[in-house]
Amino acid sequence: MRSEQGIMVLFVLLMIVLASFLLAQVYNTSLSATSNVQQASHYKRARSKVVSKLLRSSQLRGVGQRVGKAQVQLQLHTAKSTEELPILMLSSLFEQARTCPGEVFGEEEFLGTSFRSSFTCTDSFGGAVSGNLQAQQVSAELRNNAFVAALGYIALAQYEPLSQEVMLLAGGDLSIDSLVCVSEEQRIRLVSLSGSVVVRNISGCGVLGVSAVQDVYVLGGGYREIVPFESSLETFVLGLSPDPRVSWITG
Amino acid sequence: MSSSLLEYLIALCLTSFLSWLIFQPFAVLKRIDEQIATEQQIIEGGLLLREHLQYGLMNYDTHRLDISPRVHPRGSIRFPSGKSLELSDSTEVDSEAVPVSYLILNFSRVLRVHQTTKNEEQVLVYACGIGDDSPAEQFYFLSLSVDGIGVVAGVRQEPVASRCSSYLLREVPSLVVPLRSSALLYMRALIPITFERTLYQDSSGQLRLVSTRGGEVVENQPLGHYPFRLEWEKKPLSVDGISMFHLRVFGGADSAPYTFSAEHTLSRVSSLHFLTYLFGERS
Repeated sequence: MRSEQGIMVLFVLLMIVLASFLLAQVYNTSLSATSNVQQASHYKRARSKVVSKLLRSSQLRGVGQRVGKAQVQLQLHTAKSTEELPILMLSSLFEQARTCPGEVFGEEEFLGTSFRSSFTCTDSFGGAVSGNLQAQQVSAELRNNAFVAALGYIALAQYEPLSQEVMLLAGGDLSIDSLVCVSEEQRIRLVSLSGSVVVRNISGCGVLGVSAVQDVYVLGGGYREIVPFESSLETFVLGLSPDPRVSWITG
Repeated sequence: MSSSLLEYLIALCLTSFLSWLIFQPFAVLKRIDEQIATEQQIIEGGLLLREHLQYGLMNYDTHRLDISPRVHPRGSIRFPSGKSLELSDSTEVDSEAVPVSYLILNFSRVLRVHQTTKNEEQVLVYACGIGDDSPAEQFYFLSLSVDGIGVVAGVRQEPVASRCSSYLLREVPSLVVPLRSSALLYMRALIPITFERTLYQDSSGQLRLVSTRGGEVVENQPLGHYPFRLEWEKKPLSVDGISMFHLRVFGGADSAPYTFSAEHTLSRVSSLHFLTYLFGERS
């Protein structure tokens, strides 16, 4: 009888130990699971916050918004005008430009701050070139072009444009030895985005629109008026013209 | 006596069976707990990687140059030329992982180049800061010209003025910017590169952040051990250079991937456009 009681006591003790162990396990598991579920829901909330933020920014992502932000970034002044009056998009201007392969300019030293490319074309063949444009003999095609642009400098010897409206846009210096207009009604615009505009001899021209970051030299007296404008960037890229006389320049 | 013992044994069996029935749900709970812990690790690792790239993209939005983070081919970190970055055996890239590289630039110390002189394979550059800061003390730069963007490194000569210095520079390989074939003689601006970083997972499952300079590894930090496979994907959002980066994290072969996204806001412009903004106007 005593041995039966002893076995029963042992059994009860064993069961108590087993139950305690299991309960401790359950308690730990539940605690850990609760904590994980809480953290998971925290991550989920954080993630949905990020997603909704991204969605909001995606909804705001119009061209105007981007240009506006870019302007804030670069401390320019008027965002609205940029969206309304884009004149030349420099980013896309040279996308289809003609490349000047294999002709690496062979200098040993370069002084100055105007832009210059490592490559030089001898003709633009219409439109823009991804390099400098240096032509002793201007082709008929180049003479007929209303718009000539180069990433680096433009250096033309004898230039007699035939188009009624002409714009020469150089990333670096723009230099013409002899500029001859066919009539005073021709609208000629000469732009250097980083350097000087130099015309050594000019004849038969009316009003010239000229923009240069550094200096402007127009020699020869064969023109009626020069309309300078302070900022080629604002006039041609942003479409802002501070001077009403140059409204024709920006179209 | 024997019958009592048998009864106790039967009682023990019944009690055990009942206990099993009662505690079986808790075993399931434990399995779920482990699963949640794994998912939590995946989310934690994913967010960690996303935050690292988002930091890089926030720096990317301090300018408008087109030097977007570069997603590498699966299982390797390669230069744009196709050559692999050399890593030690223990930190080699996992064959299933897709690494991503990005640049951190210091735009407060941009230098304007006034003179360049060829010196065999190197170029002697005289440059001045555009702000009031003293000349850059890092000699690892992004070089800008109208022909494009390159990466140069070298040494600084003695400062000759408070904001100006001469630098002897040569073009070096970068994991983000391709080597340029054209000459460096017409570079117009230098932007200090603070870091060139790559995020990847090594073959032991360790996430790593490796910093490189001129094609050499300068540090390789472990970020944590995570039980997943990851891959980056770059998706263009607009034609003017805005893109979004998706990080997909796979917990197991048959489980659906978690996706994390990082993006930048500013559109991108050409070097000419950027240089025109930076230097082209009268001050």
